[in-house]
Order: sequence, then C-alpha cells, then structure tokens
Amino acid sequence: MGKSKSLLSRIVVPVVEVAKHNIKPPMTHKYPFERQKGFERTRGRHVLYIDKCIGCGVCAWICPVNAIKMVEVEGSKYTHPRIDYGRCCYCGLCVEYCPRRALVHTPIVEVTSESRDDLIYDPKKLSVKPNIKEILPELKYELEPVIDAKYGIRYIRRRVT
Amino acid sequence: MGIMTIEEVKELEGGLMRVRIGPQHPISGQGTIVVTTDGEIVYDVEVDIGYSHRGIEKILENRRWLQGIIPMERMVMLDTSHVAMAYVRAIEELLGIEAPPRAQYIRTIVLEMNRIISHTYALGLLAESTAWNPAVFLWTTADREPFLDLMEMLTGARWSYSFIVPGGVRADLPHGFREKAKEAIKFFRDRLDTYMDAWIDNFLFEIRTRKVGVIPRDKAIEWGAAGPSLRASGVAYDTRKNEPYAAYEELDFKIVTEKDCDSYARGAVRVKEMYVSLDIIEQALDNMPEGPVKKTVPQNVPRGEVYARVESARGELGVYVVSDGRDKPYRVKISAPSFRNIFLIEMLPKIEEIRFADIPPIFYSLDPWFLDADR
Amino acid sequence: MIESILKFVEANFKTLFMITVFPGLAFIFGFLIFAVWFERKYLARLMVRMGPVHCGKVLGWLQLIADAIKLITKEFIVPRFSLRLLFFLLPIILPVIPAILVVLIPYAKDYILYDAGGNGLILFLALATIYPVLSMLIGWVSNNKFTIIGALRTIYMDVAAEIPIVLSVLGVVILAGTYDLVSIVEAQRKIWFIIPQILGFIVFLIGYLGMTERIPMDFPVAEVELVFGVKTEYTGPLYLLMMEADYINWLAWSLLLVVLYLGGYNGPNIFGNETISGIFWTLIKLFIVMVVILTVKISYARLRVDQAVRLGWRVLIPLSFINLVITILLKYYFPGLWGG
Repeated sequence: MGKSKSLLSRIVVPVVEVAKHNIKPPMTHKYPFERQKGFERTRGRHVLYIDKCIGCGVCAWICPVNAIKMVEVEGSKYTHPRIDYGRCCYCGLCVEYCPRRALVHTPIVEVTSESRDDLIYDPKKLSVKPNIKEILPELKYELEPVIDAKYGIRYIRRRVT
Repeated sequence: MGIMTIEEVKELEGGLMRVRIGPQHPISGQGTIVVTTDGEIVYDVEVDIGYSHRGIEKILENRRWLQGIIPMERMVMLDTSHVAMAYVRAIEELLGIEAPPRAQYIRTIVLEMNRIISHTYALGLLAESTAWNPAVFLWTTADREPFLDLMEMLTGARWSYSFIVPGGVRADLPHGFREKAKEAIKFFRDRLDTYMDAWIDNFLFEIRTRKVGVIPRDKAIEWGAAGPSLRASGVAYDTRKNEPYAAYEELDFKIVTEKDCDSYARGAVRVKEMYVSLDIIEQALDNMPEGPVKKTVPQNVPRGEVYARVESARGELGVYVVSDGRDKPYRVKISAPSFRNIFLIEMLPKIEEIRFADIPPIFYSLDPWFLDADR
Repeated sequence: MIESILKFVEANFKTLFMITVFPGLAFIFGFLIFAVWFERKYLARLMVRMGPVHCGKVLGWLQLIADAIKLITKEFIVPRFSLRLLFFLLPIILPVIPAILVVLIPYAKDYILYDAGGNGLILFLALATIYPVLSMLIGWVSNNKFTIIGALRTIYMDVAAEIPIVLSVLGVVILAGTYDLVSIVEAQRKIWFIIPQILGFIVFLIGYLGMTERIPMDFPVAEVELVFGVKTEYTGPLYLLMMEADYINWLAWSLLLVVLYLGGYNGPNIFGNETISGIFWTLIKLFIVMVVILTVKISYARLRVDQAVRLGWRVLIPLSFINLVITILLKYYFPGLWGG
C-alpha cells in the first residue's frame, strides 16, 4: 500500500528502522520505587467529609453496583455512606451527584487488603485522607507525564517529599 | 461440540487430527477454535464461544437509564465509548431530545481517540500472529500512552470512561487540552509513518499475509462481515456516513476501502483509518462551538422501541431498546460486530485451501474480540 | 603418585587449559550467561523497555542465576503416554553435540583443540546435522499433537536449509583449497571471503538462520500456532538443558560464520602476543554477529514452512550454483590473492 517499493528496500529498511529504536528512552516504571502521578480528574479512592455530609442517600441510590450503604455513626445524627471497595467500579456518579460535595475522589488507586471484609470502608475510615507514603513505603520518585511531539511521553522525575 | 469422546476421535480417518487452539491463546479473551487437519491442510474449522458470557442484557433490565451506562461499557474492554454511545443514542431518540452542539463535538473526539486506541492494539496482535517476537506489539502498546493519558486528563479513567451520558457529556475540556492533543497527534503521525516503513512494507510480513484468507466481495456481503473486514473487500459501508450521529455530519472525511480482500488488506484498512481518525480529531478541535455541555433529562423515558447503531472499531454495533414508560428499560438487545466476524473463519475452508500455519494471520486480522461476541 | 599427576598436568597444560577454561567448560557456561543476559537486555531496548533490572542492581545479571535456580528446583513431569526413557534422555544428550562443535574452531593460529587431521570443516558439518534429527525425535517422543506438527516442520526446515549451506561452503573451500579450518583462516589474510563470496554469504546466512532456529525460520518452536512446538511438554531441569542446547548451537554456528567469511582471528596485533590478539579478534567478531542477528530477529516475521522449502529449493540452490561458477573464475584468474 502506498507507493510500491523495491524488494531490497523492503528487506533492508525494516532492520534499519528497528535499530533506530535503540535511542528511544525506555517507558518502564520501576514500581514501587517510582509511581506515575495521577491527574486532577483521576477517579481513585474516595474521601468523605463527615461534617458536610447530611445523610441524604443519593450516592447509595445512584450507585450502579450497590456498593454504598448508609449506616449509623456514633457522634453524628445523620447516617453516612459505607463503601464496599470489592464492588466499587470507580465510575464517579456518587461524587458527581452529591449535593453537598462531601464525597470526593483522590488519585490514590492502590486499595489492597488481605481479606474481603477489610475492603469495606466504614465512614470513619473513609474520612481519613490517604497518604501515599504509608501505602508504599519504598516510594522514592514520582513521575509526571508530559506529552511531547518527538518522544510521545516524557516523564519528569521528582523526589517525593 | 466440546470435549470429544474416544469413539469420536477414532472415527477420524486418513490421518486427520483435531487440534484445539484455546481457550488460552495469545489473543485477549477466551474462545476455542477446533481445527481438523492432517498437519498442514485444514479441512474444517469450528469456533466455540461462550466462555465470558456475563448476561449484560439481563443486568440492564434492573438498572436505571443512567446507571445502565456502566455495565454497557464493560461489555467490551477496548472501545468502550462506542457501546455507551449506542445506548445513549437510543435513549435520546426515545426522549426526543438532542445534546447541545459542543457536547456532540466532544463526543466525536472521545469516540475517535477510542478508535485509535483500539486499532493499534488490534494491529499489534495481527503482527504477533505472524510470530513477530513481540516487538511490534510492544511498540503499539507504548504508543497508545499519549492517548490514554489524554483520556485520563479529560474523563478521569484510562479505559472505562463513563463519560457519554444522556443529555451530553459529563464535563468540559480541561485547561490546556487542545495543545496537548495537537502534540500527541503530531507524534502519532510520525509513528504511523515508521510503522509503514518497518512493518507494513516489510517483505516477510507481506509474504505471510498476502493472498491469505481471501473473502470475495459478494461472499463478504452474503456471510455478514462487519467493519474493516467488510471494507477490505471493497464494500463502502460505514455507519458514520449512512446514519450520521455525534458531529460526523459537519466533518469532512472519507471511507477507506481496499480492493484485494486478504489479511493484508484488512491490516491496511486499519492503518489508513487511523490516519482518517487523526484528521477528524484535528477538525473537531479546531471548529468546536461554544455553549453548555449537558442538558438535564427526565427520569422516565416514554414508551417505544428504537434501534440505534454506531460504527465501533470492529464494525457496526446495534442496540435495540424497548421501553414501557418506567425508569428502567423493559428489554435491551445488543447486536455485536465480533459475533458476525468470528464465524467468517468457519466458512473459509469451503471456498479455498488454507494451511494450518495460516490460521493465526486470518483469525487475528478479522479482529475477534471474544468479550464482544459473548456479551 | 602425586608427582606423576603433576607431571602429567605440566606436560599437557595447554590441552587441559583448553578443555576446562577456554574454549571448554568455563567459556561455554560464561557464554551462556552472557548471551542470555545480552539478548534480554538488547531486545528489551529495541522494544522500548528495560530488561531485568532489579536482581543484581542496575544491570540485572543475577536474574539469570535466579531463573536457573527456579528451573532446577521445579518438579520433574514426564507425561504418561510418552516414551519415558527417551523423553528423559534426549535433553541430556542434546547440549553435548553443539559443545563438541565449539572445540573444532580455531581461535588463534596455534589455539585449536582438535584438528581432525585437516578435515575440520567436514567433521563440523557432519556432526551439526544430528541436531535437527534429535529435535525431531524430541517432538515425536512427547506424543502430543502440537509436538508432532512441530517435529514434521523441523524435518521440512532441515531439508530446506542444509543443502544450500553445503553448496555455499564449497565456494569457500575452492578459494582456500583445503578443508582445514586453520588454513581457511590463513587464506583470508589479504581479503576476507565475504567480499568475493557475497552470494554465498547470503545463502549461508539464510541457511544459518534455519539451523540455529532463529526467526525468520524457527519452526521447531512455533509459538503462536503451536503452543511451544517441539518443546511443549518440557518443564523444569530438562527445559533448562534444552535452552542451553539452543544457545550453544547458536554459538557454534556463529563461530563457523566468523571463521569462514569474516576472517577468523585475522586482525592487527594489538596485544603483542599473537595468541591473545587472535582470541580477542574472534570474540569481537562473534559479538558483532550476535548483535546483527538479534536485530534481524526482531525485525522479521516467521516464514510458513512450505514457503521456506520453496525458498530453499528454488532460490538458494541456484544462487549457490552461480556462486560456484563465479568462484571458479576468480580462482583461475587471480590465484595469488588467496593464501598466506
């Protein structure tokens, strides 16, 4: 397709083009020592602001996989959401429809545990902001991707403070 | 025809054997091809699907209209926004509303970027089927990264966007999106030229895929091929031109067809379609109108039935929705393109002679996506 | 008794050194570690990624040792309906044959382990043809549909690759006038044989890709359509032995390529000592051949088996006959150029 080339150029040119890949920088992240920084809109784990939440239940009503259930919390007169991360599919509908903006996304996507029951986060656990250094203690660098016309993606490495 | 008994095995005469390729194999998804061969020539092929049936049509009967976008997207993992677009198009037609113009342009950008992401993956798998020690597959995986990061900047996720909703899209373009998208487009055009030099115009790739798996024009229409497999046999059929949706009516592009109907042509159609997609994205970014991006829609959808189609990366995808006035659908039926494409390989041994080593190049060039076929 | 052993060692010191260190056991194992590491790192670089990085700090060379330990400690699985004794024995015999081939090559003027009485080239080619036969037997013995198809393809490839190799090597023999590998290298003092024998070199190269089972002609292990081809049923320590056999075979044939066409150990004498210079130049040329063959491996797809046979009989054999005619004319009109 395109212009028809001669037999010799169809055999030799691929080898030359392949060998040119030697000078491209590699695109590997040495996880968990480096991690790609999330963007502003990245939909990761939630954080609940308990003083703003009024217990209306829209998040539980709209969740498509029934991952949110409203439970009682001591010290508050409203019920608050409890999210089951075994079911959550990170679609973002609960964040979009919360009338008080009490539920927000963070760019942390590492939610792991050793048993299914630990994945259910009750409202007190949801209100603690996650810290990436506690989840990944060996983390040293953070990579920020920059889109560039020559290399595609270039990563800027910064030390994590 | 699943597991064979000993009596069935002994029935095969003439030194034939039945070889099962699958359900674990280098392509994504699970499906089996049972090939009757004598080592070199193939006499019969049978495709066995159904390993990843999830019952999405039944799940949708219990989800409200907005919630239903989420399971629909997870039907296919690569070109997710096309499936959501088909469902949303059906809902909007039943409601009788139209999304605002700025939302239509943003939808076009998301759909075309999704097409690029899906085609590079499929082409990488086609190269791997000719046993190309996964170099090309890894290049295409690395080159999708700018587009995946652009999508994450725009929507918040890398493949399950949940971005197209009835009434418009969920958010507007972020700050600086246009310049970054233009850089990514310039990079990808140079990469496509490299692919043409190193891979499509490669003597050994051509020798494996030319004149292999020829589906003539009339047979392609008769057997029901879809998408690039149909356009590679010379039929100029594209839903974006026949029944335009999103902003395709106002944009200027042409349908890509090829004359020889072999596996090479099917790969070539995909590469040329990527050039066309890059042009569409540039035009949409330049001519975007101002205005709101979302309208509010009512909860209940009036009674009616509608059939909506879109052109996904694999072919024409149709959704038939029956509604009875509530806030949940009564019945949804999805017609998937891969379901029609996969069974083309069963008809091929009847019209020409294929060898056992030709089965991967033919099969991967039809772009079978078992998740799509099983729904 | 100890004195007699020490006297024996001192009298045959050079031979014992050649057997155990270079080009014997230590060299072969060292080459295995280097070749696998280099292949993984270099191919990774061409695929826009890094190779092994974590074990062994930055270069990742301990990764290979870790993989070898993992393979050795795995379970021995022998399928029930195969020929069990042969299934177990064949991978043990397999690495021995290429290792014998390595000792027939001259690394410097007076550094060759076995001379074969002036017939080193014929012995090399004769022993090297056992390797595809053993490969086919391995596929036959496993009693599995995929391995049987792989075994059939190995024999097709053998037919397509060997006759062109022998015919193209005849051109070199005519120019040098002898079958002895040391004399062939000496005959390349003024000009390397790749230049007058360019057609023969191309034919030899394609046959060489077939015999060492590299892409574009790696039929015994046809990974996409057959699960792993001939080696499907092997796991654990037997698989490690087969992998070693593959790399040692590559080493032997690459050395033959260096000796026949690239001038062997000829090169300027930079170390003062001729033996060490010769060994150095042989290894440098071997490294360049490895880099080129790995780049070719990544750039091409695999041929279909009937296309390879057609290539062998319709293209390579006529080319090698044309090469023979040109060689005879060259030898007749320029007799003085070849020869030390």
